Amino acid sequence: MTRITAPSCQPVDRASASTASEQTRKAKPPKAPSDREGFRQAMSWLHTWAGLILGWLLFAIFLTGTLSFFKNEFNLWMRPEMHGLQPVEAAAPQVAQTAQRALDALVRKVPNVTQWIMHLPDDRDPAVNILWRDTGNGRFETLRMHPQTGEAIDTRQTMGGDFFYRFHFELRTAQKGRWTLQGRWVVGVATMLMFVALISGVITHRRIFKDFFTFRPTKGGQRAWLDAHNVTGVLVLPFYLMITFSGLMIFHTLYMPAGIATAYQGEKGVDSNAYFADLQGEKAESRPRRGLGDKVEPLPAIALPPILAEARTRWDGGRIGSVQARRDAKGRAVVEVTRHEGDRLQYRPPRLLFDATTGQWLDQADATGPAVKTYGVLYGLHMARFADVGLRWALFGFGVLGSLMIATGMVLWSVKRSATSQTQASRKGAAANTDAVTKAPFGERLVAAINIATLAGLPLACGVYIASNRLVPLNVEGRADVELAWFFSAWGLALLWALACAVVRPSRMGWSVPLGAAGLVWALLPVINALTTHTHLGTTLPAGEWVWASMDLAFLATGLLLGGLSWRLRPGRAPRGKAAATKAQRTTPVAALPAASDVSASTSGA
Amino acid sequence: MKATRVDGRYRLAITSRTVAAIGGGYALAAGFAAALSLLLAQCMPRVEAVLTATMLSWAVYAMAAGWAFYARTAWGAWGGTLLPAMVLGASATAPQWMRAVA
Repeated sequence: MTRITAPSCQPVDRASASTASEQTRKAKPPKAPSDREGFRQAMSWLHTWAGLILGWLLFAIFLTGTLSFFKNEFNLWMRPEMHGLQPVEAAAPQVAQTAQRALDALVRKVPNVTQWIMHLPDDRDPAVNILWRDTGNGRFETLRMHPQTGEAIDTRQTMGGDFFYRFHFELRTAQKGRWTLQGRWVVGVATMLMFVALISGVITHRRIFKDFFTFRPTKGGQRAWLDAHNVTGVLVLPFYLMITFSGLMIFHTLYMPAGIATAYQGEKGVDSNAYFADLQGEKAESRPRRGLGDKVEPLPAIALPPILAEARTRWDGGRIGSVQARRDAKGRAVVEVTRHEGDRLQYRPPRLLFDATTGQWLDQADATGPAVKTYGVLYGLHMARFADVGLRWALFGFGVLGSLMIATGMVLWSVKRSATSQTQASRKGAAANTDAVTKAPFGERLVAAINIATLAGLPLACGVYIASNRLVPLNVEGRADVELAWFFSAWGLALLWALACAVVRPSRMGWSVPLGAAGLVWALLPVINALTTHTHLGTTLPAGEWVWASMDLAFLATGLLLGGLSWRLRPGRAPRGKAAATKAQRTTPVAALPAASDVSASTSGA
Repeated sequence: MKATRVDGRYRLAITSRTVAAIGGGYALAAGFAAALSLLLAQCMPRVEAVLTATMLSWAVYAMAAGWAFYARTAWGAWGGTLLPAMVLGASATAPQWMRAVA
């Protein structure tokens, strides 16, 4: 059985099989054997294989990353106990009172706190979020507080939107991180392959401008999938290049530390602390490094209002995002005020340093060099903390398109591959043998199965995760991890189903059942929400609480889209017209998808 | 078509090129980042030098990966990535060796 198609292997075999490539040239319309053509073919080959190997992982990374654009909204929706908090305008003067009230409440609860980071409420998150610790360098605890009263809000245990966020860059599988470093490396390798696939994809497309306007869904089969892949790929190409490249740069200290190792080489080895300080525009001595068990003096009493008032004057009334207090390397207690992340594109925002006891201004920390600023803007573009609602939805749309680009690419690989092996099988005279026609090689069936498990299984798993947030009893031990267990169980079930339907006994049910289940779960989310909480559409719509209501509405829309997709892919449905039907039957065996008319529909959620 | 036959030799060559693209490409990108950081640090702040070199190094990595599959032979894939990586790596670590000797 032939494994590699003729044009694909040409660049690789050019040296060893010159007679063969001559034969290929005879069989095909004559092409100028220019070096450019060979390069393009090599890149086409690279694009195909680099894309396949980590495409599934990339789809998961892309989809969860897309959902993470609405991390705060997921965090809110998945904690209905936070409903009803009055929003505090981040620029308003009462922010200082809110901060002081929260700090007083924290000190009452933890008298010898050594460090705290307080995120002030804004238009996306109405609560005061405090991370605190009473050790030198231990784990931070989280505390959510009512902005007006300073009372702790007792929310259900959940990772909320942070799960999508953490899965996106470190494949997080549990609330308390495990294998996070390994996860980040795997994501890094996938990101690099995406980068290579993007660049080789651009080189492969000689008609990149024309592809922009070419989509022929009625042609059916491989052509439609190729068009869909090209349209989704070319349409927002700058976004993909930006998001992959910035993804690599965000973790450059992990992925590519070679430059730091030489330029920051000192007498006592590499001074990475100095690098991090330069990167953040800080002084190295203001970055205390302590051991886990080191004793640190508790913080003194701090008066926040004068500090925050001065910070606002220095920033011309700009919003304050967060405040933190700690002891620096010399043991002096300092307060650091961070500007709101929505106030500019570059990440991180500028920070002002104050003496905690006297309230005197000490320093401003900000990255100002051209390369550091470039890095900060890339970082900011990736995180999209600057974006308001409209832009956030646009970025979300780009993310959905990116997920579709990867998904159509994976399906295209499958469709193209089975078309090739079918043609070759019929050339060998095996067409009469129906078994050879219906049963693709094991490798192709496996790819088809993992396609189903990822492209249909992940939306299902995400829906089940959100549903579990409402369905798992509130007093269950380790509740946050139980929700994750629901997520991974649903995904695992989808994989088992896909293996059964595509590998063991090929059947057209493979796609429609998990997609249908996903559609059902997503569409039922507003209903489940209405049955289990008071933050449902019946109360949020009349009250005009759009953050809450649009979550439910988006879930419903996602469910309808997935359901529609499942309906179109149901068994026994002729793809599109008679001509397309016969063509599809000829080119696509059971494992691949029938029609391509649905690629414009979303495969993702909310 | 002979070219489409998949034998052990072909698979070995593909595996070799893949390792050259990932490993050799990384070595080249890292060597590039190290050497350029050191060079640029002579004329700009260290952090600027490191970031400029690191940002460019990803393009080098992508080009090296492309080269590994475009080179005429698998040996060419290795030579084209590892040789310049060694040269760059040596020039980046040379100052340290000099310091150690002196």
